[in-house]
Amino acid sequence: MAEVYPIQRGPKTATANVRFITAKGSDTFRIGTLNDNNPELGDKNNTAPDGLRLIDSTAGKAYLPATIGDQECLCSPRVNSMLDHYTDVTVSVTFAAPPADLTAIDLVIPKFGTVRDVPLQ
Amino acid sequence: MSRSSEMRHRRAARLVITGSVAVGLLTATVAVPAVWATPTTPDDAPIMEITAPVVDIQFGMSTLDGRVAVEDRKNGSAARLDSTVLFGKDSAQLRLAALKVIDSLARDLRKGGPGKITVTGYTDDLGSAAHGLKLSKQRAAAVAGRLEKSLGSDWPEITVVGKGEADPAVPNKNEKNRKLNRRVIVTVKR
Repeated sequence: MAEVYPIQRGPKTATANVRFITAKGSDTFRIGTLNDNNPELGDKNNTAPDGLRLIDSTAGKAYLPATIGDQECLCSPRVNSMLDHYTDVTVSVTFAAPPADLTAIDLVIPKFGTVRDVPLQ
Repeated sequence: MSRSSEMRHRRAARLVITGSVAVGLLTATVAVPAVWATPTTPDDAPIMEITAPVVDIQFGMSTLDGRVAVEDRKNGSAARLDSTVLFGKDSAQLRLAALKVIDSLARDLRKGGPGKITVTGYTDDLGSAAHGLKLSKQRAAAVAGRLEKSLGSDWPEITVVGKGEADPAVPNKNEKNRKLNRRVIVTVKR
């Protein structure tokens, strides 16, 4: 299960926070599930949650996770840790800030789908 | 360290541990201890220089289908163009839609100012390696030709590289991965 929180917008960046919860006793979850499986985009490692995207459908653009240094995404956590049963982890991914007049934006989460109109705060 | 100073340190450590902090996304609660300790500096505490590097953040955008992506890099930018957007199967002839994609990329590149451009073509591992190498170079040259036309003469000459099936982005183990490997990468160093 995933809980999506309002996207925190700063002057130049916007950060998406999603809490992943293994609600059932049989559930397990790996952070690497959220990877885009393309080391040439976002993070070079296939363990980081760099598959998340902000989608501005009006402009027809997808925002990729911001990076620092040598293709390391501004994502937390970046390691492929596995969630055990009945536990949770909050994943944070930073993007470029969408235009100021935008009050909500779609968020794509790999394996979970698109969450429409997530508020930008 | 004097006995009274040591006692104050022990007290401070105990209070820090007692004061648990729980930070959530929407709520942050701080359990405040009854008495705060007064920070003290022991006479023999080493003094160290604090260094905290500040690094630039690089941003990236892509089309909604992810087939064309442009990302900032430390010394410029890199664009990844999916070959299926640019060319037909086994062809180095740019599609009509590809011209629009490359012209749009040129507009983005122009915003960042002139730089040294390298266009590198890659293929998947299907067919012979020699054919892949030739095709990847022809494709890179086609993209470079259109870019030169769009950017104008004030830009340095573009370097064209064909890599064929070398340096795959991901292992060529299935069609999904092969699709990722059929690409043209445009890098700009400024």
